[in-house]
Amino acid sequence: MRELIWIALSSFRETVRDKILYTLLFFVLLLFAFSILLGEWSVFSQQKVITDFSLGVMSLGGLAIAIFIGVGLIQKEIQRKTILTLLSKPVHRWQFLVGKYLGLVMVLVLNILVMTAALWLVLKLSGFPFDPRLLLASYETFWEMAVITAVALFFSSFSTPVVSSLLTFAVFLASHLSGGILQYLETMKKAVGKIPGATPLPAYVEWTAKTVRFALPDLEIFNIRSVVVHSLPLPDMYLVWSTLHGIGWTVFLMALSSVWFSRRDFV
Amino acid sequence: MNLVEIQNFSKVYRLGIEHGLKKVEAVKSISLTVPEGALYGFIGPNGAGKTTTIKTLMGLLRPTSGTVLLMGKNPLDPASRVQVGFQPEQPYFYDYLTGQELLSFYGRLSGVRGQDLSKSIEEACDLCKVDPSWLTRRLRTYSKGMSQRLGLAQAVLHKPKLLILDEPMSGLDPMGRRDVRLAMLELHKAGTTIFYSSHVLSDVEEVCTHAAMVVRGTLRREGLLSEILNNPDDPEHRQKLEDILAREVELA
Repeated sequence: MRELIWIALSSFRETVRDKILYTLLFFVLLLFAFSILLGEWSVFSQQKVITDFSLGVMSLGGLAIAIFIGVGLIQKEIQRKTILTLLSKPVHRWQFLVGKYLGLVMVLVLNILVMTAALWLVLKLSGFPFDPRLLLASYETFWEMAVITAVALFFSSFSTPVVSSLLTFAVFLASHLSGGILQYLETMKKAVGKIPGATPLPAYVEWTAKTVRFALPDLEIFNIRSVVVHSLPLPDMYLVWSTLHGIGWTVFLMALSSVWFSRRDFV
Repeated sequence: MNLVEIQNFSKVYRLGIEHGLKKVEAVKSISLTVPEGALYGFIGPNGAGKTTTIKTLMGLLRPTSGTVLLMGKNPLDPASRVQVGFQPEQPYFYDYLTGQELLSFYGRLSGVRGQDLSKSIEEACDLCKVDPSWLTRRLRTYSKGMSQRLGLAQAVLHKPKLLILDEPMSGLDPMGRRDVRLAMLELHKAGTTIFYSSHVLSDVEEVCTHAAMVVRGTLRREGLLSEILNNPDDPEHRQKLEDILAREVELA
């Protein structure tokens, strides 16, 4: 267990000393500032535009961190051969992998805190109050980042950085879009039944959409932006279920990555 | 007791798609043992299979066939590495860390903690001629020779029973080579068993008690160095490792 903590702390140190993190954070904060202008130009409520846009940027910022840092976390160790010395110590390979992941999760927590503080500042500068429910949105964004980072780590445990980045991005897109696509297919099905002569979509389209929906983590579950922005009620136990979804997928992906990783040769 | 036991070990690499998924047999059924107390030189030309064997011993590669035991255990079991120190060929380190941070990190992973850690770091640096002033510098500013010495320091700081070094003299100037050789002799004198690969055959002749010679993945000679150097079956009575190795390369 101690080994896990040492590796996590080292991974945290590695990431916070990485310039790319600050570049990403800089762009995220720049976009937050841009949301003030966007709010002023918009015909909708300025407060809602600022909040909605900033929360969206937070989610994309998390994706960028997962891709640019998460994917490189293991690959850099392999390419720079630092892994040879580390794995020659009495540590299990899964400890190495999980330790690296936990280090990055600590960075994610720090990022979320910085981004939430920036959102508070943007709202304050624009003369709007900070709705405490925004903290719930930040919490859910953290879980989205944690899961997508686990996805990135999973792919990078057996493939190249470019392929891992593309696959992680594909999972992000497919996961966010699959729910909407299924809804669309359902609507199409009903419409086809009502229009004489209309041909229904082939069965494999719906089957593929359903498979993608259930084979991938549902990142849309962590998207409570519209609920928070429009002050809608959250269903009972929503946070518990979404947290369990995040934990479940993270544990599953880390377990799978560990199995792959433990079978690898380090030439 | 044998700290390393290798029986009929073979390793086959599968090349990538760009090479038509061809298979290459890097090590062909080699067997050797490293007894406790030995200073064991593992020699052979480039591409002979030395690093593959060492990486397999450290659990970084899986054997294709045969048995490999480190401290009597499967090298894939982390428990086998508790009393083992390892320095890879041309050690690469985290360039964002300072020397002190790196040694503390590796020391903790090797089970050295608390006050023992600073004492162990001090002793290891002293032994490997790592200047204390280097320790506050980030590793990206280290020269190759400094990295090599730090590599040896991280391998010895938990006072392992067995030290496995892959080309520890590589990239060092003559003074550096001398320092590493002296450090190895001091450790050996203190009871550490050392298994190391090297191209510097004169060093092996000078310091080793045992040696193994591999050529193109096959083991050509193994055992006490004195027996290898005084082989009664050799009609030409070669008494230099360089000559013996050259002959084995010709025969292989």
